[in-house]
Amino acid sequence: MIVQEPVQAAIWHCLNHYDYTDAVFLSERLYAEVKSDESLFLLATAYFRNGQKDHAYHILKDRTDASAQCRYLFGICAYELEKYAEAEDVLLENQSGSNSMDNIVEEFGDQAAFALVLLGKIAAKTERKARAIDAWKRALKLNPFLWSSFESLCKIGDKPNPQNIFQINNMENLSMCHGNSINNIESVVITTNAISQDNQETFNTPPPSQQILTNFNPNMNAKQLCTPEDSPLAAPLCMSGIRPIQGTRKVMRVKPETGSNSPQPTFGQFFDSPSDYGSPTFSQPMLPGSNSHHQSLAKRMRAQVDLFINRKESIFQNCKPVFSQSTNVPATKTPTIPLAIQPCQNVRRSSRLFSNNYSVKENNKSPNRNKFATPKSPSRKTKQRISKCNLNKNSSYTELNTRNKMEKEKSETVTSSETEKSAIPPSATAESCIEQAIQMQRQSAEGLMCLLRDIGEAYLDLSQFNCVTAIERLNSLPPNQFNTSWVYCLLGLAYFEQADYETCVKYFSEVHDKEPYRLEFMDVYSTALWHLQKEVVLSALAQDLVNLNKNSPITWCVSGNCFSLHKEHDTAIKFFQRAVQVDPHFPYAYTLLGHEYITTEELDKAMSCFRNAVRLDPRHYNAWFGIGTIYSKQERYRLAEMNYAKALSINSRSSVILCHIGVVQHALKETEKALATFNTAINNNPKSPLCKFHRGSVYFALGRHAEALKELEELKEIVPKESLVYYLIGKVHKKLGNTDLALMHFSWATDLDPKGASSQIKEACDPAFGRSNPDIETPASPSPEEYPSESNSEPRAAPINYNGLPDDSEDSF
Amino acid sequence: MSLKRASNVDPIKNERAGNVREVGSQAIWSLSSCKPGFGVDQLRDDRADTYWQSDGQLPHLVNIQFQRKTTISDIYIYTDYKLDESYTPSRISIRVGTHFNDIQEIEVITLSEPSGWVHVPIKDIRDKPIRVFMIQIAVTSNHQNGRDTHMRQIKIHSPIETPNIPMDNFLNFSTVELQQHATIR
Repeated sequence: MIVQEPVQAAIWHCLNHYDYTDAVFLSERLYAEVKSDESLFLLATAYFRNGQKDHAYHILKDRTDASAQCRYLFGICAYELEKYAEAEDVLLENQSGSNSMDNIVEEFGDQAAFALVLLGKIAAKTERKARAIDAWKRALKLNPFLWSSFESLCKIGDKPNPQNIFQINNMENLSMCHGNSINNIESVVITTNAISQDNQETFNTPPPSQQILTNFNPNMNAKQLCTPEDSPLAAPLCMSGIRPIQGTRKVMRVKPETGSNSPQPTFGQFFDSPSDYGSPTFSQPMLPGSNSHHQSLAKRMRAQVDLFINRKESIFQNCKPVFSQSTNVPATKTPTIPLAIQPCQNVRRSSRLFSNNYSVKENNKSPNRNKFATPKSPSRKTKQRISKCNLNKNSSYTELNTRNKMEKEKSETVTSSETEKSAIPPSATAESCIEQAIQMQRQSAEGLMCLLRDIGEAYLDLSQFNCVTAIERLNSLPPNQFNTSWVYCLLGLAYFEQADYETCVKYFSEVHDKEPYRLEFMDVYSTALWHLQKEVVLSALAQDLVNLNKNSPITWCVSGNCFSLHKEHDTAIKFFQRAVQVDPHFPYAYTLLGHEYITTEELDKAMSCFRNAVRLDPRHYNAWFGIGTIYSKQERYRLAEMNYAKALSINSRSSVILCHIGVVQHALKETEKALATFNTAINNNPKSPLCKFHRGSVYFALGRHAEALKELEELKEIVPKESLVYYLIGKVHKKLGNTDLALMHFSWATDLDPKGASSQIKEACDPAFGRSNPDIETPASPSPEEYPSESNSEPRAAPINYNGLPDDSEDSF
Repeated sequence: MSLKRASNVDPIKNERAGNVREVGSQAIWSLSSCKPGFGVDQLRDDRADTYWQSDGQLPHLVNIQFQRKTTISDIYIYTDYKLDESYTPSRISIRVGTHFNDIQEIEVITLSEPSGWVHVPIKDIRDKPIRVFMIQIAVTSNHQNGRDTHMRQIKIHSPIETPNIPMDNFLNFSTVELQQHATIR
């Protein structure tokens, strides 16, 4: 043991600083010396982080006596290498033949939640939906911070309840969520101590804190030494107690022997080491120097407290109803004040720590005491009263997300000057400090839970395609969270599912401007641009992404969409195939490839693509729709209807799907049903021009000319430039016998669109002159070189005096 | 029989317009003879600088066989007198049918120092594109009575057919407002 410790510390040090090559080398040497479980785990971790997953897999294989963490790591390697059966076996190893996941918690301890997440993923990949749902739900119960499990639940079609899931009920939960929390609290105290020494900005922590930390407890696992140093942000985060939450990924590394959560010994050690204090209580040395210091700070804090008084009210209402009701112990009131103030991360931390224990002063002045008394139910409307302010209003958990947020928010934090201190409260004792630190953690965790509940509701709505409610909920998020790319992307996605492509594109273009390196959801953006036929923007996007990252399927999907818009379908197919090659588990690539094959009439290949997409994601309604389209092209309408219905069952609000179902029903001669479908579609989406158009056609086909005319006239108002509308009106008039009106409309139609539908129109126009009931529908297959001559040969009625027609139609004479 | 001068036709532009599709990739191509390194690949590589060079007796044949009966509206041939001189074909016969023993000549074109794409529209008696299993492009004579021929590119266009279902006719709207809602992608 003694031999290992410094070497292990060195290896973890390397790993924490991303020097994986050295870590691998050192762990190999260590493993050669001491073939223990711990060293094996370290070696495997080093390989895994260095990207040598297969190497890690092979050294961990066949170790039946491996510890829980080794088995977990092996499970992850096997999963990444797509060896799902082995991964599952190793995770459920000591289950005495049963398949249950009940013993996972005892087996894996802290890692249980992650083991469950992995089990869920394996079950999802092996098409055992119920088991996957069960695993993820258990994981979330253990650790509600695991948002990805919630996402997976939504995506697989389950309807988890965010209100129940995102709760922090007891302390055990919290400690499991972020591993060794108490140890991190020490580092919190330590770093604050260090900082006050420096009297510098908080970002300057690493060197002094490091020295102090290395002074004490060489038996502690070195990873904790590293926790404050991980990033410049980490130190202030430590102080805020957020560090523990981010340490979830380090949970694996918690060694059992250092898991002793008793605060006393470690604090004792802390006291021993720094020799310049010379007093058993760490607070004392702070007293002389810091009093004046934190009095001035207190003044500034009060000023800010006044500043943010409005916001705190809503914050408390929205985020901390639980807290304010549950733990209103007097000692804990104070910590909430600095949590609420939050102008900037630094001040918040500092204020929290020093106002923590020290004094009544802050308590008296804090005006937000009354907020505790009246916790209102979280009402979305109050948030809208908040003026747009880029300052962090919510509690400290937002620091977790700062890395995702816009840089401007950081720059606008109020007190850059206040980054100085956090003087250690003079009058605190060790235990109360720990308690308060724990309380702080709980509060910040609770704040995060509050946010996750809101986001969870919105995400759930979106995955059930209740887009309107989802948009509302997303809009009611606090501005600093709202202005993140992820939320904007979700909003864009919501509008996309509603087929409101203009708004969708607006949001996505903002995201792309702010974060041009962001890749997720760009495929949705590109499809929206494809629908809107915005070639330039789409080409630009494709170029940007290709320059950014050629290894992502999303890049190639976007490029394929770009070429498809330019009608170069072969190239588009090539790019979509590339997307599939790059990531065979990305369902949308298959769907897009399928659509391209439909365009090039290779229906069998298209079918196999759609089937692949559906296999990967059964809720991918685009793929079901594609299958329906194939059958509809093959004129197998019953099958088409079935598949469209399946798509509709997933996304019940899409008017496009309803329209297609209606069309197919009409083709099946079930016109009543078709009409009913169109009526539903229009009720869902009254502005949708497509539905009106199809309903008009159905009326015409049924011979209900008056209704058809009414419908089409309305449509003419909505979409004045659509030639097919005029064409259809012309046909109706012709049927009614109004030849002149018919001719007029036909000529307008031709003027609007000389090329596209002219074949049909030409056929219609000629018969309109005299012949009695020609077959208008026979499409003359157009050959391109005829078109230039065609538009010249049809000057029927001079389109002079009608309103509603654009001026440029006169150019087509 | 028609005299063709290569004018500024551009098959790519028509493809982009969305009315026709290049269907050569759906067919099996074969040649009556070729010099090694100057075969079908060079004929179909979308590059004007590589070419097919025949290596046998006149007439030189390019056989294009489809798996399904395909509607053909145009054939485009790229030749260049300035580069190829005596290798440039001067008379080309187009024959179509179901298989080798069942083809008929439908078109003969005479070229006179062409330089670029030559467009051969394919129509039947009723002025509609034809539906065939096989096309054979035969070079019956070359400029300056050359023996072998160079052909740089061949493209076959098929019209994108609007299906006969009445409703589906309307899935090609002319405005973006309606077209964006026409389908789900």
